[in-house]
Amino acid sequence: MQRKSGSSVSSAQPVSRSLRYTGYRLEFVRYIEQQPDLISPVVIGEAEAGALSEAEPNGQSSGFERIARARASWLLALLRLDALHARVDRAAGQSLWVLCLLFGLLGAGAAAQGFDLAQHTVNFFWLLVVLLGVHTAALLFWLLALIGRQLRATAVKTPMLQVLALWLVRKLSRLFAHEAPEANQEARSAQPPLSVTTVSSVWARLQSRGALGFWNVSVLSHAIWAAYLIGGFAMTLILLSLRQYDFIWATTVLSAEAFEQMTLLLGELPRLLGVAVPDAQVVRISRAGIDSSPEIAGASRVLWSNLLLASLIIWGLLPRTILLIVSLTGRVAALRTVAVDFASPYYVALRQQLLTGFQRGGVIDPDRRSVPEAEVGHVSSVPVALPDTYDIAAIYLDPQLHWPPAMLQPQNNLGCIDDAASEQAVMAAAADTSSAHLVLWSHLSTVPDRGVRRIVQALKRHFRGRLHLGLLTPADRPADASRLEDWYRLAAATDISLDDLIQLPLQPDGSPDTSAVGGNHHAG
Amino acid sequence: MQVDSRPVSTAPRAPIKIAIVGHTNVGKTSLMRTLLRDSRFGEVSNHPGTTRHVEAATILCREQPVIELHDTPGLEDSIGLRSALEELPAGRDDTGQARLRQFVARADDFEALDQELKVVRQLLASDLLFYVIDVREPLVGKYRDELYVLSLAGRAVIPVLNFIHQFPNHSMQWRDYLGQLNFHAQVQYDTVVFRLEDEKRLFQKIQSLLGEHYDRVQQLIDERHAQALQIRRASAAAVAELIINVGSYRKTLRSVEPARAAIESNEISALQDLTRQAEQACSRQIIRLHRFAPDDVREAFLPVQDGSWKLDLFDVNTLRAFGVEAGSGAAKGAAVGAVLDGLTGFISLGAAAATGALAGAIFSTGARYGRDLQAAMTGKRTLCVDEPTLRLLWLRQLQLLTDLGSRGHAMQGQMQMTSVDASDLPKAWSQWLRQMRANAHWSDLIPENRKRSADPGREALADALAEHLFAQV
Repeated sequence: MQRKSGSSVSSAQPVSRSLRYTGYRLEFVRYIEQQPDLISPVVIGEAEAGALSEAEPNGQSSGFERIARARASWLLALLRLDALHARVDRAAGQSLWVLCLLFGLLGAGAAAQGFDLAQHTVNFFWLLVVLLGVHTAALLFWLLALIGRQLRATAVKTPMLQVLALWLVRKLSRLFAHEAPEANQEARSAQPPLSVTTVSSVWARLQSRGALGFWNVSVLSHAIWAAYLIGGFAMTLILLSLRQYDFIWATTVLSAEAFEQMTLLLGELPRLLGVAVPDAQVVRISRAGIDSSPEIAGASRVLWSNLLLASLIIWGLLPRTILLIVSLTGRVAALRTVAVDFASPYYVALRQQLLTGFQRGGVIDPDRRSVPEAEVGHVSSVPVALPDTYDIAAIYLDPQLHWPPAMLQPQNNLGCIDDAASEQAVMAAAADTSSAHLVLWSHLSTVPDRGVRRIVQALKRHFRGRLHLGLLTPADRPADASRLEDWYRLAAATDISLDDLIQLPLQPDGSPDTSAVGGNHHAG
Repeated sequence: MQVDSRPVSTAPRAPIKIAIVGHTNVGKTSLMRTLLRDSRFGEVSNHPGTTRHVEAATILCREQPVIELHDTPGLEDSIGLRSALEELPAGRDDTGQARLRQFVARADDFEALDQELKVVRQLLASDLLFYVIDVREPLVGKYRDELYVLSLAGRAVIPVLNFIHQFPNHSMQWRDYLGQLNFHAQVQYDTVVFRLEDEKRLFQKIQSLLGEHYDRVQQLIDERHAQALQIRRASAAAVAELIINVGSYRKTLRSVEPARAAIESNEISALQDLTRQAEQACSRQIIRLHRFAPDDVREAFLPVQDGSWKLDLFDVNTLRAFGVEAGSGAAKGAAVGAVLDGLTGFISLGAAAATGALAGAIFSTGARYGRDLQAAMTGKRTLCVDEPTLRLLWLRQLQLLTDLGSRGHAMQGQMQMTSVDASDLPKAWSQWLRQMRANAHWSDLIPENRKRSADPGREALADALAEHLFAQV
């Protein structure tokens, strides 16, 4: 498949009509994508790259929705879902026609039942019941479903019909499916072509959902009942045109008045519309078994056929046709308003993946002279003891620490470096002292950064004797190995022998660990 | 919750420029990572001087840049920097900013302060400074010197107290001192133990310090809040799916007597694999939703490795660790995975189900229970995942959700596990379980079930489960 240029993919008009509605398109792609292991990550990656590349701000919607739409269009194009969807749409149309044909035949058959070919009579009320009665009952069900929908009651299901329709759609869409070998298939070997079966099952799930589902069932219902009535009407018309029938009616338990009333009621609307219908007298004389003169019989025949055909049209075909049109309109409206919930897990996951919520600005003030890391030399495992006589200084000690602890017996305490002033004071004292050893104490947790390194180097310059580094380690937990390594690195960088690195465990309250002997500790 | 999709009314404006400054190794890059929700930003280590350059990234809200963050190298030699600044000859216009500019102009004289120079440049170029503090560190002179340098820049400063949930904690000392310096806008924001509420406070401080950006920052706060809820909800929905898929899975075994034991043990291990895979897929999905990279997970993340738990789902010890009572089979170390014979399966569906079957009111219901009844009559056996395992699945995912919710994007190590045990099971658990058991067609682990149209009962149960988890996390 040729990779289409960015703008042509999202703006291309799909062949399949329902896919032209954005909400429906997004939901369709979502349903397809939520089928496990159906779409290769390669294709999804390609679609996302395409969608991100053509994302131009249009100010109308948030960036994510725009990208999600573009991504859906890309997936439709890459997976050729449009053509598959159109095929299923076509099969749906064909199924509807098949069902209409079936119901037309049923209607014709039912109408034929009302005619007694031997006696040349037609039972008016029988005909009315099988044609209009069943239709009215079905219409009532539909009205109930409509009311239920308005009241947001649980979805009224029409399982058998729906199941039959969907089964037909699947069969038909597969019947005409010729999976043509793709010329360029190896290029997309990661993605096996989607089968029309898969698409049709996704189609069925989507089309039977919510408002769209209701209007689809409505279209189906009104179309097949209209077909039923047309079949019945046509059969009636044919039979009435070709032979002469006497209209009769009969009852065993009901009263004759009831029939008369009903006939008059039924005829009221056709009469208003100018159709000549039987009056009460004609109704009475048509009762089975009552003979009448041939002239009167001839006139009543015309009146009865008028009533029959007019009733079928006015009470049956007309409302069904109007409702069919309403349902088709409702279906389009439902398609137009298929809701996309961008807060649903699917879209939340997509957004997390596609939009980072930030832009990298890159390095704007690069490191021009990278400092080579000092090599950490051999780490001595020999106990390092404090020298016999020594001075002490400290750097960045916790102000709350009692300093110096009793176990350190220095000749002089040169002070603690904390800021520029104390630094100068300690440097001056270090230059003055005559001691041979100076131990610079620090917490192990203090980061031996460039500042510390500069101070250690300065101290080495000012102090004439041997400089040791003393690390106060927490006695209650093991020393942080990586921080210890940083101190080794500092020692190496400042030419302090690792043998001059002394560790002194401190209790959490700041007093030295009494179990430790004279500060003799392993360095490493 | 629907994210407001109205376009930002104002034309794109310049974002708020914020420099993240602080001593070395206090978590500046970590703060970047957490604010960006990107565990890949920059480089983080426990050694000093890890970041040696200035790196920028912009936080977007509805695609519009709102905050431009600059990660700076650590101020390592603050004494040196302060001395250098004080030694500069006083010019005619001797303000703090003038001093800093003079320092930048004479950069070549201070080669050793190369890193500090970069920081000073950012100080001058920013609208606002985040001064990151490691509260585990005592307040010593070098920090006072840093704060002095910051004060020269004349920018609004928000001190960010990091590592507030760790020990030792010197935050009182820090707060007192910052208060003396009139830095009252301090916030605590642990880059490791993440709390959305702390982040909100941080943004609110920006609002109060930079009033002209109030609305944009408010949009950002709202968006982040909405997204956090959405992520939590989406994760809960994923777990609900997992529980329903596993809980309603049922397979009827055709067993011919001599080979029955062998067939059953094969089927049980196949079901165990299926369950493990389902759990793994769910965990991965949740981890991705929280925007952690698969590699973060591989490193040291919970007892999860490659998206699956190190402790096997079907290990009796795992059950014990979560306080779930193992069945008698499990206690012996046998495979967990229940084999019900047909009749037990049928009875376990409950009276309501049986009534439905007898009435045969709805075609599908009748057919479904009819099959169970038939299985009961013919002595077929049904395989499903047993209840302790389901409980464990629920508890483990609950734990994962809780931990991800408070895991900062700067976290590198394995985290302290939230303690979750059997008491965290929902009250309606057994009722839900009955529903799942009665609806084998709800399980998407059976491929043909995925083609069915949505069952309102399943959706309702999924909503109930997700809602419960959402509220619990």
